[in-house]
Amino acid sequence: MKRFVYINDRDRTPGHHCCNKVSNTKYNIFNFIPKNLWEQFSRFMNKYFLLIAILQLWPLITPVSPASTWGPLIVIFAVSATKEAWDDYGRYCSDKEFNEKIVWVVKKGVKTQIQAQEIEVGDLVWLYENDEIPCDVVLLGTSESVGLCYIETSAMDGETDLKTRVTPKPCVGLTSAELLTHKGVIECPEPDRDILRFDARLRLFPPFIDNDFHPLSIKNTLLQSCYLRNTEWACGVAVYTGNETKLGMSKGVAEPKLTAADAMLDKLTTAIFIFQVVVVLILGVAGNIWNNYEKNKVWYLRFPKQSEWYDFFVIPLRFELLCSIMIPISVKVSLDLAKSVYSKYIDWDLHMYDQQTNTPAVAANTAISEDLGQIEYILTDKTGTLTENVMLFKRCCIHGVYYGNESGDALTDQGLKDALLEKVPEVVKFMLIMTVNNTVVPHLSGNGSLKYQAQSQDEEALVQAAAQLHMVLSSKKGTFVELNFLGDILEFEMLNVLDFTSDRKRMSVVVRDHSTGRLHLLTKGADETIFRIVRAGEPVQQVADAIDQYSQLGLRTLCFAWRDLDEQEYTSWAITFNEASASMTERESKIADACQLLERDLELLGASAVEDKLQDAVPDTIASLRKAGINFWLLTGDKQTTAIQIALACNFIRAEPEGQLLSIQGSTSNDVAASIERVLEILRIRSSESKDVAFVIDGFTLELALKYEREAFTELALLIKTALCCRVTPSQKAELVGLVKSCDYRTLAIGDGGNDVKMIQEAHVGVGISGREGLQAARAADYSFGKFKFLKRLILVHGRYSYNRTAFLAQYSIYKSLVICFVQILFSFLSGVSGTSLFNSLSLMAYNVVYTSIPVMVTSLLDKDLLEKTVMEHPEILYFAQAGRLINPSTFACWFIRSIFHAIVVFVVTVRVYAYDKCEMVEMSMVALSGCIWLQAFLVLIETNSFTVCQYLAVWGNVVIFYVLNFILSLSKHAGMHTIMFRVCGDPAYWFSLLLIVVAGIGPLAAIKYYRSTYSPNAINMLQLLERQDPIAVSLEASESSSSSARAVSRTNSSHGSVYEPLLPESLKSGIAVASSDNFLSEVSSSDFLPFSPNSRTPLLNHAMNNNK
Amino acid sequence: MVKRQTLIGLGFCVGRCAECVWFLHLEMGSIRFMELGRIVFFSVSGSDMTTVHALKGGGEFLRRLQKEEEVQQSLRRESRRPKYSRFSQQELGSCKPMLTPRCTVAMFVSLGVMCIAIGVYALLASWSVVELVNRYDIFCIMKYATHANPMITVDEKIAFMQDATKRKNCTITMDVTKLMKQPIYVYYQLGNYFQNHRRYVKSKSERQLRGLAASSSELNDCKPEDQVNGEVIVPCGLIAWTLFNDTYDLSTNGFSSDNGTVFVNKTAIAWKSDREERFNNTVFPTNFPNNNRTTLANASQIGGGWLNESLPLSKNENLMVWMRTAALPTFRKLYGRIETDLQPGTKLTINIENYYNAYGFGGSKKLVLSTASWIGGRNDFLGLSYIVVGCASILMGLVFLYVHWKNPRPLGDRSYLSWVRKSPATSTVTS
Repeated sequence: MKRFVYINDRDRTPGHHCCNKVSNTKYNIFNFIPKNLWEQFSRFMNKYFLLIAILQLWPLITPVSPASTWGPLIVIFAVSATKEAWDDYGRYCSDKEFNEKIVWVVKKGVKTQIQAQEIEVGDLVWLYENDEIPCDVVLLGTSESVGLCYIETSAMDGETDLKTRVTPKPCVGLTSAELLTHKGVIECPEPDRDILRFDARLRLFPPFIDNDFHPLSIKNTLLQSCYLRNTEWACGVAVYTGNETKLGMSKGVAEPKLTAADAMLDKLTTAIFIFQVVVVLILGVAGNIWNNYEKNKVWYLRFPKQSEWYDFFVIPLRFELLCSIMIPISVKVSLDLAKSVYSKYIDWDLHMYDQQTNTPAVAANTAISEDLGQIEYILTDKTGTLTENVMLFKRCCIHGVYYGNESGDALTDQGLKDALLEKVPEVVKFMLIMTVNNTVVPHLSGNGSLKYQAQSQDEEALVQAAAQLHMVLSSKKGTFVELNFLGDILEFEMLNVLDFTSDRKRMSVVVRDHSTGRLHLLTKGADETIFRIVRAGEPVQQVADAIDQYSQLGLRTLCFAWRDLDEQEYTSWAITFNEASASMTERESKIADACQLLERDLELLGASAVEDKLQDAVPDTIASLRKAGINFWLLTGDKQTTAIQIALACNFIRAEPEGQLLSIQGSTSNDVAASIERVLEILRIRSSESKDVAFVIDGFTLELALKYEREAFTELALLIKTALCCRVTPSQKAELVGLVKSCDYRTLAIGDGGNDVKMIQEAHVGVGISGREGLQAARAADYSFGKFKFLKRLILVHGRYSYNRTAFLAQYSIYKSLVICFVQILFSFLSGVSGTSLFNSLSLMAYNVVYTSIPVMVTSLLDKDLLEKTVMEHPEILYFAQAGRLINPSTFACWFIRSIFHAIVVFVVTVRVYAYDKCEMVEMSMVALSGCIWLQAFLVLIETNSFTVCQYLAVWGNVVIFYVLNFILSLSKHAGMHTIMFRVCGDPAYWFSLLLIVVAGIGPLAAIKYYRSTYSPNAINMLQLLERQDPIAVSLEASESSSSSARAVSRTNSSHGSVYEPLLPESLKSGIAVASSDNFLSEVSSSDFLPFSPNSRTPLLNHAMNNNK
Repeated sequence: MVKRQTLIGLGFCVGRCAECVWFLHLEMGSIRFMELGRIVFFSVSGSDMTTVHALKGGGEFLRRLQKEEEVQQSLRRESRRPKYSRFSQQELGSCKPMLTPRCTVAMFVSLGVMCIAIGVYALLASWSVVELVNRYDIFCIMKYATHANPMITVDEKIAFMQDATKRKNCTITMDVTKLMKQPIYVYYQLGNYFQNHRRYVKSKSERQLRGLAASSSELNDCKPEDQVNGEVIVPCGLIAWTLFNDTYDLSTNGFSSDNGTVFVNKTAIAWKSDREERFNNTVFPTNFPNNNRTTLANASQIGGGWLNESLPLSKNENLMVWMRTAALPTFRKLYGRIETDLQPGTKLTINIENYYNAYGFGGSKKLVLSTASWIGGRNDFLGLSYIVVGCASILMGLVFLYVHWKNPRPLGDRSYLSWVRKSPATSTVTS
């Protein structure tokens, strides 16, 4: 489907496009109540509660007043509806502001002001500096003579640097008067959400002579909600409006994530529901039997003679209502409340505040903090996540001469400076590529300083370095580039930019040197792609050598190549290229093909090496988290050797003999299958040894593996703990996350850039580093913070506590409801199975909402089973949370049995003590209720690990509240509890019964707890004891472990140069050698470009290693 | 080496650079900066105010200025550092009680001792209660069994009870073996009688009892005893209708002066709040079905006692007692109090009007005379269970003591940690 937009011609533009009214609201005034209710009732729990509440309206079956369910239900619904309404109102207001903003639009050749919402497709929109762009616009003219303008896209991707947008060629040079009247047509695809792509074409109508279709790309567009900066005015034609803009289309409500504990709770709730149905059926049948037997005998009940048709269902339904509290209405509310505080703890955490970048940790998703404690796989990006993403140009190798090897910094290398002063042609060419071949925009800021704005840190590093070596990129105006080289001004015209894509892995520009008028092709890119396209006889070996050396140092490398073009070749190529760029279908591949035509027979100049330092404490963090049983996958777009070096440096993989790195490579599906099979075999052999085995795979092989060998690869993924995936694309990252997820592991994805967004959204927990690559990842993430090292605290402290506390809160909430429900069930056996409620409505309602919720709430906010310090020092303890040890069917069974036990204790003691002359019903119900309350108080105490003053206050305050409330109720004549509490409390038997209930109910639990913690202690118990007993021992051990990790670090450092070789053990060398000969180089060898034999790789490595020594 | 470069933050660095002293010279339309010690020379010449010639160290200078500006910028930006509080950092002071063997054993043993003490105390109280129980329902009816009406089947018993023409009184005796100190409580005890049945419990109108207009829902609850011939029954509902109506006449064999009659005080047997608040003194029984048996002559079974229509509800204490529904199917309700001591050897003769029909549903009727202690009537449960719990607690403490003595476990031994045990270096576990 295509859309034809007639510029500035409302009559010809078909009217079916939507107007520019933006609407982000979910509701309007009329549909709010039904829609909101519908949404709330789409949750199972709410449906259940509604059903119960409706059933309660039938007086024949309701055991208690309907208010006991309707009250809380209405409150809960009202609260969440109000929240929704408030949020929606906020959205409505911001929409309104956006829609009613006044914009300039050209109508019939005259500029007029209209509201933004009245813009239609085809309208010519006139924008001034600092205007917000109201819809997606194709740029037609700007105040700048060269036809470019600057926009800020921070609303879209969080990147604060200015981006340039250019007018399409035919429009360059139009005067503003011409712009007001000219007409044309734009052929563009139907609205989509891809903000990086706009494959359209433009034709201007006569009188403009250039009557051809011209390609349009995203570079020619101004997207909605960006800002026009540093440009006096710009005008463009609206192509997508309202909710059909790129931004509007990519908006979407994120699916709420369900945590593992939530899922488990849902399962348990379902189990309870089934149990409840069974109980109801049994009691219902029993009740009917009792009725049938006794009906005619118990004259005092005066059963009606004729039974109604529904009589059989009445008793089961009564029991359903009586048992409905088994699933407490408060559990969701209290969990939501607690979880939002857990996420606040993350926001508040000073230990996770990054001073350097002034970023506190942010928990955007408040509902999933306990999932952090259950993470089993971490998939991490490399650049900017593990590393600082502060690129510094460190070394280069130009024509076989190494610069920067001695001093470690090429910028101070006198040799390079001298070479530049002497204007050695290769060095100058090299520098020119560094300076020109990029998307960096020099920008004169208000105070006169020159700043470089780059989308890639690498490019900025190169340009900065060149500037320091006195080749300064001083201005870039449209296609004209001005350099200042040792005081001389050099001017170039950038004729074409052959863009970088993740497939091409290289970028070229065609420039015309104004001083000589000659054409050059400047190319930089990844070594493997450059080596393929250099001309025969170039010193590929030499550069490959250098690159290996650099990447072993963990540096990021780029190859530089150059070619002089002759005019004729260029002109013919330019036509092909323009056609390709104007094509409406498969534009990307066509462009790539066109580029390939020009990028050949290059002169290889050399390689640059850019350093990206590891972030602070990364190895330590990874080591701790690995100890905690978390498996790490490194997913990077970087090259394999660099990835391996970084992985070694940060404890990801370990050198022989502790670790082993296997590689999976292959150019065909068969090769890949064989390679995977080999690795699997090795893994099976090695499984007995305690060795850290890892595998490394590159993007190409990965694609084959995921396509054809998915099963084998999945098996491998399950067996292996560490994996390095190099050269992977954003969607492959997401696919890998999906793969691990599909094996039922909890995954966490962490990254910092736009290329990690997909993976972050795909994972169970997405973490964004708010780094230098903008905020895109941080915005998409559930959690974001400034440094990778905070991940340790996020998982070990916040994740673990959240999980423990959630587990306790959830299970306790169900337990307490079960207790009171079982008391009711037991009582029903003494009341003719008729479904009499022992407790009155008020008590039942207050039991769940007031009496039992405060202590457990406070405890679940403050309780810490272990000190933060202990957890950080013994990360292994995370195992409990990870394996779901604290909330699962068996722990729940314990709580279930406990609830039955407590119900029996309360019931038996009450019924037996208050027998005969004391068994007045209201009194007895109060005794049973008090019994439950006291048991809860002590149960919370026994389940608490650490007591703060707040907990004591909460527990005992709660008991006090219980008595105060009931005394007040006892004063009221109408509550049906008149004087009850005074009577009950005046009776010593009451207090002795309570004591008995507490001792009999808690004693066995204490005994079991003591026995288990002393004679079959779990690790938590052990650490608790350690903590308490011997604070010195804990810290001693800590220093020990830290020193050992320091040792590990120093070892990896010392063996830095030679690690690659030992990774391939002697015995397996032959096997791996085959595997490694199948690497991409051999894949390349099938094409004609490869200048050296594929097997030269291995000696090459040895050579590099020796060099390094 | 002269480098043409753009100056960053011209005025800015003059003002801000704190570490070094700058001198500013204005000289023939150019600006020069000098740094003490090492000369860094800048000049702004002529008309082109944005370009500056740096004489020396230009690159480094550029970097330093940028850095300086960054620092200043971040200072100007508002700090987003979270605020410190002990709560937000989860650093509230806490204590962690730990169940160590010593304190656990001590706790269980002392708890056990305490429980046994309470148990003994409660049991003694229970034993101090003197209680006389006599089940009379069967005896009273078998007395009237004749050859024609042997009253073996329930139906025969029911038929006898429903026959208004037949007398139903009987006499039982009870022997006082121990001194019974006043007050002696006279209870009737019903067995297998479900006052807690759902149909029954709610079949009343609190508002009506209080003298307010009964709400329609409450009247609905009263069904089928809500109204008769379209007029509202007061008090309505099954509970009132089934009022217990056996009567007991107690006398002794000559020890008492008053003709052998033992006076049973039937006032102040109901709760004080019931007498004063719940049952209103302006509400008189009306349309009460039991008062007019003929209207229910055709009913299969008769109800309970009748109510004096000239007495307000607040004077009907037996109704109040009855309307405090029991939670258990076996319950006692207070009939009255004997306010004289009964000496051992006294033979009590009780004349019973056996009106209440407990035969249909297999219930039992007992007459209970009991004194009271602080725990109420005779009930060994509290004492016995305290003793059982106490013994169990002591036993548990002793078992723990024994286990600890036999198998002293070094607390907090690191080697017990599973991941520590796994490593071979520390696998030797000291016992």
